[in-house]
Amino acid sequence: MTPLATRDLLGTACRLGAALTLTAAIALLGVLLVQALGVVDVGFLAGAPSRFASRAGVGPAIAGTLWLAVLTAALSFPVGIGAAVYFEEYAPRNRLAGLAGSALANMAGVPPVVFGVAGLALFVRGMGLGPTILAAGLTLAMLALPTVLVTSRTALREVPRGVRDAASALGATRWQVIRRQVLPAAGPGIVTGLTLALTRTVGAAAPLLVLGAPAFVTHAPRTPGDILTALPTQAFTWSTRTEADFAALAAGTAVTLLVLLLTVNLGALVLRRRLR
Amino acid sequence: MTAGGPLGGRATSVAHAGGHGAVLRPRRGAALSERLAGRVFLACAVLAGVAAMAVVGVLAWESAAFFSQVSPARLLTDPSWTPLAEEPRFGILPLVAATAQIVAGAAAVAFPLGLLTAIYLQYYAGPRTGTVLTAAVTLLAAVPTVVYGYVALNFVTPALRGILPGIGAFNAFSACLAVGVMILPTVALLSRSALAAVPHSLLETGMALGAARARVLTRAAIPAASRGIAAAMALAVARAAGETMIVTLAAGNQARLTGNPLEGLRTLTAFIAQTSMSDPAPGTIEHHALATVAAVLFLGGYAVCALARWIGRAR
Amino acid sequence: MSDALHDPGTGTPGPPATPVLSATGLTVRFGGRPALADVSLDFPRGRIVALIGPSGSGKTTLLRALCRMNELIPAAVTTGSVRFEGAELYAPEVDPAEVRRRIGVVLRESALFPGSIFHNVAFGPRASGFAGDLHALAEEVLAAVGLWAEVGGDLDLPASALSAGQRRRLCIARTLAVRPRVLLLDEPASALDPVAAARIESLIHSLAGDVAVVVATSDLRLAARVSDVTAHLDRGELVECGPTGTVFTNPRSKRTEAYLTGRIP
Repeated sequence: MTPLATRDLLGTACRLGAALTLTAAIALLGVLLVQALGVVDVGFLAGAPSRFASRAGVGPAIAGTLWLAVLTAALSFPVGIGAAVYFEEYAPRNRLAGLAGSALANMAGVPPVVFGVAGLALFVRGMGLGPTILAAGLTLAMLALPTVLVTSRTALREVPRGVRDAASALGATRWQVIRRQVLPAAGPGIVTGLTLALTRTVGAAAPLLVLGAPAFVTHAPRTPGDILTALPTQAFTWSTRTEADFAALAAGTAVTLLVLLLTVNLGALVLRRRLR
Repeated sequence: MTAGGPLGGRATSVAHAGGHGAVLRPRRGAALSERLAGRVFLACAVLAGVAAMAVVGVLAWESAAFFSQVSPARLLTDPSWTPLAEEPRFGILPLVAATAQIVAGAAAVAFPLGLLTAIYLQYYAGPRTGTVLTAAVTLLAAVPTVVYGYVALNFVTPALRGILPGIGAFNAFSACLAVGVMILPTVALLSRSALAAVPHSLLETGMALGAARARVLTRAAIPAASRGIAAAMALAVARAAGETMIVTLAAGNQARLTGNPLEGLRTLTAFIAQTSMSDPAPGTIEHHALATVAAVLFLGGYAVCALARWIGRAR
Repeated sequence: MSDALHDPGTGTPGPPATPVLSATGLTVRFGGRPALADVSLDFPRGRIVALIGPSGSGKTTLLRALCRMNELIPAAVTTGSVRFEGAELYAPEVDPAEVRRRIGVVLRESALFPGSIFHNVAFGPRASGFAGDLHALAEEVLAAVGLWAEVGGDLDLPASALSAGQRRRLCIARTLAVRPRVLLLDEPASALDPVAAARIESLIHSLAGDVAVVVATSDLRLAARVSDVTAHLDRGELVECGPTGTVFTNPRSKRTEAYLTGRIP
């Protein structure tokens, strides 16, 4: 008689794969935390970079990253969501509009570093902004825009057709249907996409390096016109140093950045709950 | 329902006004906000288009300056890339090959691990392990790439040295591992949602016919989700090819290509990062080369994304 | 054919002869064969008209054409004329939203809005700029469909908590809240249990008079019981139209007779 329990090779492989993935995540986080443990304290969070590892801090970099997050969100969210509403709700259903929509969506596959090269030419040199917070904010907004657009379009498309039809049938105009029914229904999905776009761009070091983020900034930026400094580039700078003390600083910076990004994610989670 | 509510009143007044044609017209305020909303959204779309065109335009402009000095044929056939040499040579193949090597190595890590993790999450995990594993994968997705580079340089390479004594301080191997883990969440999460989209009835039908779970999965569920899984893998490839910080930190900056994973190499992205850090003066051939490599990366990323969207959509 | 409409012959004192809504030569295409072909039909004030016919006969297309809903489908092309109280609905200066505020429709897949019962009822009046007491209005229309007592006056109850029949009546109530002159119902009692279907039926009866009601249904018994006038559609064409009693007992058209008796022509 055949036994009822058969060997499940796929199941074994899946368990192994899942275990390896979990191990990778735990190892990565563990290594970072162990390194950062002795580094992250109030002095580190408030202090400025220094030639002496024991005195160095990430205060200016935190301020810079917060500035960049605000600028990126302020510039890319309205434009991206607005363009998504246009393509999903207003654009004529013809080839041209379809092609334009696809052309913009495919920008999401362009590597972040390429936006750095474009931002260098357009904003740092072309508009003469120099390597400032503003130039970086504009660059990161361009980087975030395709992701905002694509994820918002997906969220809008998932609103059932019946909701739109019912709202129209009750005599609502197109804009009333969108504002009162479609956007609220798509809200949680849009927020998820915005979070993804924001955390991806704010964590990106490559475009900022290309823009010419200096390695050593001791004053926290107060206005968007101030010189560029941010946590990812700070982590990069310290990562390239060979001394062990500075490697630990890089881990501390990375953990600070990670905590910041997870806070954004947590905030988004709360917001999604309230929108539902 | 009683007559004479607001509608009754409205209808009567309409009758007094002499005909309904006028009343069926858009109301003044409504018409204004209606027109305004449509224009604002159109303006947003145009602005997004302008931003994209600006990127394309500036890359094309600077690449044109590059090609006025180096022929496209030279770019594609010259076997070496030495922009700083006395007689600089611009053959992009070594950079492309290095990028391909990183992509292949990362895919070798992420494709099987990501797919197995996705299948596990969708079909095998209990509620608690599922939550923990999903959280771990989501966390990996949130980790900035510079952090992966840092870990690869400072921990993975030293650890590998114990096993492979010949490994260089900068090497492709640890960069591949790190990029592989970096794109793992993309493969795992997107494949999982492709699997989740497979109708449950398909699985139940298979099970009802007496097939073992693994057989139902490999013969029915995974083939049904194969387009979504392929799209996930294509997007992961695009991310791996465009990854800059890990390769800059862990794989170094050696333009010669030996194919030996224990040695360092220089990808397209690493060239951009390294060169721009040395801040080449605008107008120099080196600076134009930067934009040209960026243009190549743009085209590659754009094409792979278009491919992924096409695979994911076509039925 | 439309002469018959002016005197539905139900025995009740006849309403004014002018129809509230009148379609002439109405044709709708979604590319290819017309889904509705040259239909001319008058809808008398305050009466109930049933549209009968097999699925795909154009009942829904006609309903949607009467309130300009078809234009939400990009491929739809409508020709012909629909006049509401003498005004041409398809005139270029007419706002379709204003049309739908006067000619309310309850679609077949009547999707409820996520949120409370109140949210569902208040949406339409708010969209048309209603400035009065929304709660009083909600109570009135919910009472009209018999939901007010059933939910115990709790307007904050999530709409998803209602049963299928209650949902259907909520959809009718929120359409009534816009105060339409004409109420279009697409398969109002389909897929409901007999008790819920009977409630809908008596609701339709109670609504007629204040508003003209048009019911598209494949349920012949419903059509026979509820309507004053019956129109039979088949493959997009209007086959026959007349007082319900006449159409059901003594149809002029062989096609109608075949459909009513369930014979395949």
